[in-house]
Amino acid sequence: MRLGEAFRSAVEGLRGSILRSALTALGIIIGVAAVITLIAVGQGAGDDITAEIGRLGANAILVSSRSGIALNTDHAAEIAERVPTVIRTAPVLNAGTSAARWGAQSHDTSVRGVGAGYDIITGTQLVTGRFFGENEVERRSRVAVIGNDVSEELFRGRDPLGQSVSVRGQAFTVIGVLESQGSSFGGGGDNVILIPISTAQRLFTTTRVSTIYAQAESAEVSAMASSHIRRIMDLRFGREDSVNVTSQDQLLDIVRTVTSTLTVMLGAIAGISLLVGGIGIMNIMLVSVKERTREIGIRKAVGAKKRDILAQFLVESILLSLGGGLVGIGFGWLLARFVEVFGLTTAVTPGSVLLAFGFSAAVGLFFGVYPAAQAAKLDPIEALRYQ
Amino acid sequence: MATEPLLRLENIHKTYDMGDVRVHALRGVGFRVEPGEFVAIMGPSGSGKSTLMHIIGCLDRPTAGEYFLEGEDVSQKGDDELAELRNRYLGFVFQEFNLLPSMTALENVALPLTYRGASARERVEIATRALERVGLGDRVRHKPNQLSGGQKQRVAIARSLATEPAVLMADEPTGNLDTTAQGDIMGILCELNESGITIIVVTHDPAVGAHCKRVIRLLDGSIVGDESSRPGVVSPGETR
Repeated sequence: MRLGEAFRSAVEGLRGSILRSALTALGIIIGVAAVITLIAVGQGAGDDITAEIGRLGANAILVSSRSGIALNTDHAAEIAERVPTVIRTAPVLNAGTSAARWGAQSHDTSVRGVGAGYDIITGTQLVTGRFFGENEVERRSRVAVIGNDVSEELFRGRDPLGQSVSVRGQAFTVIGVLESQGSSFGGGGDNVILIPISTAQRLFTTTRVSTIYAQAESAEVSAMASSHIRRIMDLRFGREDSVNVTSQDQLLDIVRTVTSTLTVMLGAIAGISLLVGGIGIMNIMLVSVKERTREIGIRKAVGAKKRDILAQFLVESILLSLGGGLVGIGFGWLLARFVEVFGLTTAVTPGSVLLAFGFSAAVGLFFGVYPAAQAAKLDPIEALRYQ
Repeated sequence: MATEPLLRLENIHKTYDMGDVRVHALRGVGFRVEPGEFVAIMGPSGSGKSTLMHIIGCLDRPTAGEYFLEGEDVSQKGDDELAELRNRYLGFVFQEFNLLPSMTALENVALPLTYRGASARERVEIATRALERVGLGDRVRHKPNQLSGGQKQRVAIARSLATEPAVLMADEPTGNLDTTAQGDIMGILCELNESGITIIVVTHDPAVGAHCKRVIRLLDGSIVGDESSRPGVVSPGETR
């Protein structure tokens, strides 16, 4: 019997019990939809973080202290001065969350003190106004560049430039508004207020800085610059491994590793449901073989060989799982769209679609083989006698 | 032995192991069937006639002995080879009709043809002709549950004819039918035999046996009688 015949009789068999076929396929539909959605979420998260890091600006290097080491602005200056491959540095103080007030409006936001040049190193763009410069940092000016969220929450559409925002009882003049970075992981994003590092240190009564941002001349010298910075800092503090130096490349690598692990894990969890769906197929196929014992007997009596019966039932289970897979891909795509409503980025890639489709076909094949083999090896006389 | 007969059974034995007990279903059965014969295999239940039919029909293998079909020894063939032999040489008509309920009469009749790789057009052509031959040319699109018992059995006969078999095997073909339909079906079988088709009927019903030109009687797995009702018909397996 040709494959077309096996296909036809398989469709016939499935049509014979539409509800049962649909319910069986549902197991695969849910499994595939779960695989598609969860991989999309994982991939989306990865894309998000990668974009975030990419926004840091090319050639950015992050220097942070290990325990027992206190970095300050002098260290930033020293790196800029002594490392020839570093163009500029900017110290950063993450000063936690404080309330920013304007008139009757109040909004909790993270306060960061940053040095001049921070905007260049990080590739920060402004919607309006300007970033503060060397002078304002030196003079401990009370100026602020505010994030998009802060601007919206406090000014609600009014022009924030020149307005006076109060943080911890001090008044800051708004001189710029950051471009929105979209909702994303970490980094503060849009809910941030940037003030000169010197002003921040006085406001929070500290001489420390959290991180020093450095910009290498080019991506090629970034690794060299990193080790140079590490050497200088180790010398300065008189110990090995005094600081963590991370270049943007390394950061990207780490994030890629983490998110791909996350994606694989999510996919694997979803894959389990696909496996359960496959067991459902095997179960229903076994029932179907039992029920249609007489049909198998008749087919054998009129000349069906083992492989004819095998093909018929195998095609049936593969059709079930492939059909379920196709519908599942559609559902998964919709579900991914739906998840985006909650602010998560998702990415349905052709790879994940292909994976889900191939996997569901394989599930149908794998779980169909045993029932089909059972059918194929039935004795025609016994099968004809079956009531 | 000038020419090889259509069927030749030599000292066929069949034993079943039922746990501790060995059941001898056939004890040394041998006979020949020539082309064009109309043979009834008769006997009470338990006489081994079903077993014999299964062996002649290539659905089962004998435990011992030889069975030649068209000169070919088929007694020790594998499952798939037997399937091919059934498709090529044999047509079956069963007591319970054994039609596939989801298929139309035409599809049921065409089923054996799908297993010999006939094209769709060929199948429809042959199946239609076979249905016309049993007088069901107007019922091709009907499903079995839309047909009467007699009509179902005629579809089954058409199915067995579709492959132009060397032998048509009928197992109690009238067992599930009313008297009128019984006469109908036997009439068709007789007609088919007249047109040259070899038919072997397995039955316990003397009325069915009366239609046949030759009757082989089985009892306890052995042949106890083999008689031709019409003079002139050669019965090479004649034991008397």
